[in-house]
Amino acid sequence: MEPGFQRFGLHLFPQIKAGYHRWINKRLPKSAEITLNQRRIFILPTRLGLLFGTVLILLLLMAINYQNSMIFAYTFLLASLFPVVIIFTFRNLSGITVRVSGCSSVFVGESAKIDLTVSRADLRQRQQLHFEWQNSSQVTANLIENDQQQIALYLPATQRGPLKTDRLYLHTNYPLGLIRAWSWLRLELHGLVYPKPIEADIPVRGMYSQESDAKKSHTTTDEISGLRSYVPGDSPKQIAWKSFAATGELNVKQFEGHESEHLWLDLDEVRGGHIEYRLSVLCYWILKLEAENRRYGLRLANQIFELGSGPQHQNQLLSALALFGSDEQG
Amino acid sequence: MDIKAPLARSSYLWLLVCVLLILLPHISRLPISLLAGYGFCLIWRTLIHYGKAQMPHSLVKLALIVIGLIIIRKGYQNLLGVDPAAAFLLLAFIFKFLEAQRIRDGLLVIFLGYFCLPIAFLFSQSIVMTLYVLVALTALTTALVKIVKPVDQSSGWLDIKQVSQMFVSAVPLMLVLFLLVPRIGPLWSVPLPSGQAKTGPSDSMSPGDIASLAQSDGLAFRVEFEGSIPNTKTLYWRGLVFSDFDGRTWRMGNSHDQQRRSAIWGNKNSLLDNLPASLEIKKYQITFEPSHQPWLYALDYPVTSSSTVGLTAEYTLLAKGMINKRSRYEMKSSPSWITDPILDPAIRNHNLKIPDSGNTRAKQFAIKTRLKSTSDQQFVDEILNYYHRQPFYYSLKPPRLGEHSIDEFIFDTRKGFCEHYAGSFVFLMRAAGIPARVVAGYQGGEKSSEGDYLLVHQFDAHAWAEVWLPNRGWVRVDPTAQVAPERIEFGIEEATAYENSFLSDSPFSLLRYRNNRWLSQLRLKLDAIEYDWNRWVLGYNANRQSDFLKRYFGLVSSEQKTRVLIGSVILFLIVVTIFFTRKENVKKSQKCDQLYLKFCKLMDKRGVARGAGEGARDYSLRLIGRFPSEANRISTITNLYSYLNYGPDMKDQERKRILKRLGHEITAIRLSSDRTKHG
Repeated sequence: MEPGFQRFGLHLFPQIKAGYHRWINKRLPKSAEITLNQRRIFILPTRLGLLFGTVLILLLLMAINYQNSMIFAYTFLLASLFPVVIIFTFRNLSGITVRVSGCSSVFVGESAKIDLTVSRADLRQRQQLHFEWQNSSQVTANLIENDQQQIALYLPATQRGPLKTDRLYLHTNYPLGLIRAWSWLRLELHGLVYPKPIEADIPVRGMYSQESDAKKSHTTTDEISGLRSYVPGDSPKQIAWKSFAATGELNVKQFEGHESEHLWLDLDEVRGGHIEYRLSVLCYWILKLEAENRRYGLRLANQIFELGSGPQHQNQLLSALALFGSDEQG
Repeated sequence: MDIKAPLARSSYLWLLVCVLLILLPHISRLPISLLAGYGFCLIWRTLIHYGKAQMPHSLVKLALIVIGLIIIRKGYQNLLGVDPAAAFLLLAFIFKFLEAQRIRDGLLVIFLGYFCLPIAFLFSQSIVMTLYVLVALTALTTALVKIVKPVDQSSGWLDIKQVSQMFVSAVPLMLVLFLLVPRIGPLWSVPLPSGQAKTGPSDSMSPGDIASLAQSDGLAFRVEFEGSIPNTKTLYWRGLVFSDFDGRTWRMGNSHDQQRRSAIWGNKNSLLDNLPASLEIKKYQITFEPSHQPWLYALDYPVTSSSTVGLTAEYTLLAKGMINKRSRYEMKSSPSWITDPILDPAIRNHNLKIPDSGNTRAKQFAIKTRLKSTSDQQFVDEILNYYHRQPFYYSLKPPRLGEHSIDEFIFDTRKGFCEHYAGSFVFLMRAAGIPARVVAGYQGGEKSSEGDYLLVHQFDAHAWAEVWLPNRGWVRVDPTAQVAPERIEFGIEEATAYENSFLSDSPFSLLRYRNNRWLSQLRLKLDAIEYDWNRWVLGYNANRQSDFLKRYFGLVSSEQKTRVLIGSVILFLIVVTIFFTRKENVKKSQKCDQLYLKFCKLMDKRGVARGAGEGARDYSLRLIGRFPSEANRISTITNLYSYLNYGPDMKDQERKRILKRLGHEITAIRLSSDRTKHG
């Protein structure tokens, strides 16, 4: 993963490694758009490059022992190729801009899809740009005729909260494989990781236990108590399309029901388990109630989210779950 | 790059091309059985590629290796030589190719290829071979690129272009290293390529030997004279002296070993010091092509020797061993020196011996003629006259001779090449009691196009006679000159023109067309280039290096040289880095805008400024109204500009083409405005 470390045995010295990481992080500030320049690009020969060096030494011995001018010239030509390859490999990476063009929010256990746009500002061809995250497969971009390319990377989400990434490892050994130029991209992602939904009893305060039957009848009878005008964020399922056809006004159906039917999900009402489990149960119910077009609210310790429904409402609540307990909360 | 991943199919073809390119220079040298084995492996690998055969089982691989080793062992007597080593490396290279399945194998094939390719230089370092190796090196490196990017997106030509660009960028540093890296002597002794066909006269001479040599247009050596090049007639390059005759074949009197022991070595001017100062001395340098024989050549009569060039008692030159690579030596000769004024009795007897039996007619003829002559000199003249008067012919295709070769030649066939004339002449001399011997070597030579050096080819091979006359020592006599004086004056081609036999075995030799002036010029130019190549490039050794650095750069101490070397390398790195990482290619749209702004500025100067926020089309209409004569050009520029900026997405190449055209149009309009201003 980190070329150089293993090869030089530096991974045996944790302090050095920690210091190295601090240095890298300082050198490579986090950003949503990164253009590679000499500050950010690292270069070392690959194993193949070392083998190439060995071949050069053997060739030199052949030239010396046979006193053969053309073998000398041949050896020197290949040796001179080495610095040229360093520059060609470097310029294959430099001037590249990587921008996060999209990042989905996911539940714990899923993989987040991160869209990156790789682009160049000049006419130079770029080939074999490999993007790699730890434990994920490698994605390759080429900029030959095209000025930019979209690539999608999948990052397994293991922890609730803001989507956290390792440094993205971007490397190339083009053209000859003798030299590897690489950089770490510390990309700013705005994705969130929601808790993994876990099915359990609905965490509602008070008499809600018998409500489940009423809820069932509610969805089937579809009794409409009235219409209110559309507010952005309302679910399209709740729009009164018939009245829209008649009047041309967008209205949202309001369902009949008591206040008790407006479901207030409450963190404190989840029985048992530690906090992650309880958030998971809340997550399950938010998804479920949204799918059933119900109006629901959420009480998260001292945070209170008013009743509502629709994707925006759902996202707001899920985000609150994702960020609960973290610094970015609220 | 995952080296364990399977090799992409597109890489296979590149590898095959590389293997063939690396094998090709060795084809003529390898034993047929080994070639067949290599071919078998290549065909097998190709069948695997098309899914018609399986990868070889490891037992099969082992068997193949053993068979290969046995063939190499049988094909070459000496396993330590260069040829078997080359054959073995090629074997390993081709086996690796046969079993190449994964990327790792492909990379190994390439790296073995990098090592095997320059082996060709051990056998030839000509310009043609160098160009060939460059082509093969480009192919090999392109194959490496193809393996590095397994999923191929660009065409092979683009990769070749990129690889060529890298090599071209590497050349300056290569030159610096070539010139400046200290050349040290061999670290351990290695066998040199051997077993190649010997060229030039050999240690014996039968009728027909030199005639067959004369069919070769190979170069024997080149000569640079200090001062002018002497007349062709006097250029007799002596190499071997034959004094033993068995009735058919002439041989050297002493074995090579004996000669080597008795020769003068090293003591550079010993002979010269004893010579009278009034003698004319010619100085020259000879660059000798590998002949795989020990004889070296000099004009009559060589007077110096060195540690590597020995001078024998017969006034011939000898190298320490076989001449397997191009070598160079300096020589001084004295044409008028009287050699052996007093002849040692043993040598005298040796040079009078003829077989007791056979060739009786010739013996009687010699004795009869001698009796009629008043002196040895007159006898020599009589015999030469005989050759001149009788219908003797100079021919490259003489009839075969039987048991009494001298008799048959002198009295019956009378058609022969120089060795017939020289041999029969020496026989007649000895029969009449005059010490005589045959000398073999080259005669004449061809001036280079610049006229500064002389080329001696194999077809200049010649044999002549030497007779010992009292008070005059050994005297050169060339009976061939009596029969075909043009041979001596103009060369063999003139002398054999009537039978059209010159170089008849090599129809494509440029030398056949010496009469065509243009071709002749071309050939001599090519040779001049090759000469410089050999001298300056191939001959660049430790001595040359220190001379060169001293003369042109004033570098003497090794510390200075090291400093210059390091400095040059750093300079190269800086220049290349700046060149390749410069801000190249302004963004395309910017380039387009720049050009258009240039146009606007131009028009502004001519009195029509573009208004703020005025669209390109409105502006162009206004311009056309003002300059109707240039309506075409103005609207073209505007159209191109709009197309570039607002047109559909296009490929780089097309964009470049349009940008170029826009540039042309703007230049044209500027030129026309300049004309109107000045005119």
